[in-house]
Amino acid sequence: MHPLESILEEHGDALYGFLLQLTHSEPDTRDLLQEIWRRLARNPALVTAARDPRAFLLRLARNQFIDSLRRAETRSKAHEGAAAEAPQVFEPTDDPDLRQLQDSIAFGLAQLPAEQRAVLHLKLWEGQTFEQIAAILDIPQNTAASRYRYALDRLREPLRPLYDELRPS
Amino acid sequence: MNPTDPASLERDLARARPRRMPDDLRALLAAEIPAPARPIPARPRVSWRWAFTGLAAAWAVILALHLTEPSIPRTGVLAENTPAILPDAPVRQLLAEQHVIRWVALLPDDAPPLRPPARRAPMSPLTNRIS
Repeated sequence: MHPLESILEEHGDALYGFLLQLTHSEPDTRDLLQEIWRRLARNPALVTAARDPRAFLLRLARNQFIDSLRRAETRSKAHEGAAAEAPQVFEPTDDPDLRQLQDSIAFGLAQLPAEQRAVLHLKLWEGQTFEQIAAILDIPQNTAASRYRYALDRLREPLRPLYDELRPS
Repeated sequence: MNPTDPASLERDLARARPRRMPDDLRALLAAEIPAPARPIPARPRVSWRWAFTGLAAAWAVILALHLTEPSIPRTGVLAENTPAILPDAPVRQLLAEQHVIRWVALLPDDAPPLRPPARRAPMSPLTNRIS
């Protein structure tokens, strides 16, 4: 099996979810993912030689995102605009309660800055420790922890109506 | 569910699963994976050591053949060792000069004495013809 096949199999969804959380834009996520993929195709040993391939790929995705922002400042403004549109960042579900919860979370996430979304995503849905998150995002560990707390605080408000609705009377 | 409890909030948030990669994007990326290169059959490699060994062996065989081959007497030796079967001395001398002394041994004893070739007339330097 080609090394890239196993990378796509094991880490493709994680990369996609993380990039979607960062960009909050489906087309930008596709572009960034293809750019990352081209880099890996040129040198698959980048990942196979890494001690923690998942962390390496997430860091690569984050760097690619930062580079794309630097390359086009106007696109960064477009990201801010797209963030308010709350794209579908969660897996579609038939459970109405879960769908409502997802919509509320997505709405709350759209109000967060990208750096807080990144920390929240890595902590909650990638199961990374603050130490790993700090290494991936190239920030101090305390910064990662504080961003996470801020993000939770800001998500609490959009979820409160849902809690009130579901609370047994 | 308790929004004021951080642990409960984290659990609820984690219930939402991030979107998986769409199938069309997955297929697009998979199509960019280069096909594994076919293994190139290894060419037989001749090492310098084996090349020198082969050359030395060939040289040894040639030398052995040369040493075991019966020596062939040279023209002069043959002429001196076989005076009886050779024609008279002038003919023998002539044949020796013409490097056909070996053929002389095949001549019958009663063969007529060979004559030296007739001297040709000098050629005219002007016409390049025999005058």
